[in-house]
Amino acid sequence: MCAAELPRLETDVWLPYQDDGVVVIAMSSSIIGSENPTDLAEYIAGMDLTMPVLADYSADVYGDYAFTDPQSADWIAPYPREYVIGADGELLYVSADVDVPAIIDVIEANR
Amino acid sequence: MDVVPDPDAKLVYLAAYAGGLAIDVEDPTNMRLTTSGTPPGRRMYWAAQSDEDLVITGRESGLIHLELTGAGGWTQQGTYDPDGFNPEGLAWIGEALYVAAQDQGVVVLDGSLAVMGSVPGSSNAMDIVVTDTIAYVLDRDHGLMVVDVSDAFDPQPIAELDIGEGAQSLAINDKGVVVVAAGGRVIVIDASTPEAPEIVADLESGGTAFRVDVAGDIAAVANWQDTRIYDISLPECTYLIGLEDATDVSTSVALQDDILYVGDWDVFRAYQLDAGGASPEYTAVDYLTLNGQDEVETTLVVRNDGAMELDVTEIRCDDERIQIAPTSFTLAPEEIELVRLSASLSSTNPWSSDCTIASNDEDESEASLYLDVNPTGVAVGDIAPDWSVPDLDGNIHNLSDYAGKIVVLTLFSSL
Repeated sequence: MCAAELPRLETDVWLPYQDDGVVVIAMSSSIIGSENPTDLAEYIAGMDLTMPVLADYSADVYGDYAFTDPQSADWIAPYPREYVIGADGELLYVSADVDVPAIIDVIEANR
Repeated sequence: MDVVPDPDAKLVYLAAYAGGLAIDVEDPTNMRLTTSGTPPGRRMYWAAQSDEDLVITGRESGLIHLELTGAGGWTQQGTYDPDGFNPEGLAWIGEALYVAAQDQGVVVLDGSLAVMGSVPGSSNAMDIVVTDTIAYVLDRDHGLMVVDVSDAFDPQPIAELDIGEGAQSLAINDKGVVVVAAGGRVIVIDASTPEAPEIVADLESGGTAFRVDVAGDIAAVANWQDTRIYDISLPECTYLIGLEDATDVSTSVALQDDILYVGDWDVFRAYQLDAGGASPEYTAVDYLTLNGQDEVETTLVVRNDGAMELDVTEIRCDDERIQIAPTSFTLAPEEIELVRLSASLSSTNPWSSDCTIASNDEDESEASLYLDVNPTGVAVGDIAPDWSVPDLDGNIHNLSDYAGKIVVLTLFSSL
């Protein structure tokens, strides 16, 4: 399981839009239960992220934010999961693919 | 999840999402859950048994010691859950209980859960197995550690082998072949000479290799999206002989006699080995839905839009967890039948199923239907649920802190 998209979200979304009413949050949310703060810190250390990185060790957010992936009927990929939440709290976009242009489209349409 | 067969008692113990569970497997084609009431612990991940003592561990509940009372019953004896304790795999070595712990190493407890010591040199342990007087530890800082445990309360490290990153769990057979489930890889090690273990095969898992069990010449790997079965009779030429797709996520396996048990999150499965053909094959013989806590249901409306009587002869779904009633009926033109579909689940993981409606409809004798089962979950248009989660410095952030801003949230796992 990888977070290869985090550096891209940092450079393509967080840096350009952080002063424009957008916040990008990377949340580690592992249902395996064997993730810990030291490993997580090491994991993101090389990525030079300035966006907030949060750690949902109990995987509650993983459960609450679950969805079925329409692209893969047989296999529901647990990670990565991308969400865009509007300024009023409404879910605007939910996806199991890392499609940064699509995320930017949603941001632009809702600013 | 962890699966621990107890062959003498014809039971299997599970460390499961719902807690500790016991399953009667006397007839593997008709398994029964024997645990009633509230299971001990929650989100349990590992278990180890020695005669009447069963210990289960998990990040949330720590370590729980159960005394087996027969027929799948137990009484709780004690717990061990100090602050910062992150228990992973464990093994009984005589009267001693060795517990692998993250950021700590292997801690040695006695039968009353008093701390007796630790394995010298281990600092970040994930799993441990023991055979005779040798223990094999998976340590994220030290790789595979070989430890002399002929004195169970005075472990002596013998050797270390670098096996790279991502190791999750290990198993060993009676020939000293160790198989390690390591995320993107499955690693096979010849440990027949304890002082000089050697990697003999390093394969791509094709998934996320999470847990492994070995029996004789067979290794089974719970590989998240599927379960893989390997022939390790020639360890340097380990090859894949079977692959079973997971229903949810394949998170644990156990091989006992000619049965393969798979913990597939909400569903516990049994496969029977057929060794008669050119290569061994496993056939599904039974499954068990684990402790339903969430009921989801929906109603399917079937309407006869034609001019003739419609005989629906069967409604079936690929996923056996879905109950359907009624499954056959006859409708006059314009008549409607309300078919209730329900499923009982033990976690919030969503899943999908293909279903088929068989009838005497000339144009579509087998109509397809695709169901999403999403017991708690989100979709575009919902209000995003609030959450309260710490950052790496320990400061709590709530989604509501960001009200008025657009939030791009990405969930990932560092494993």
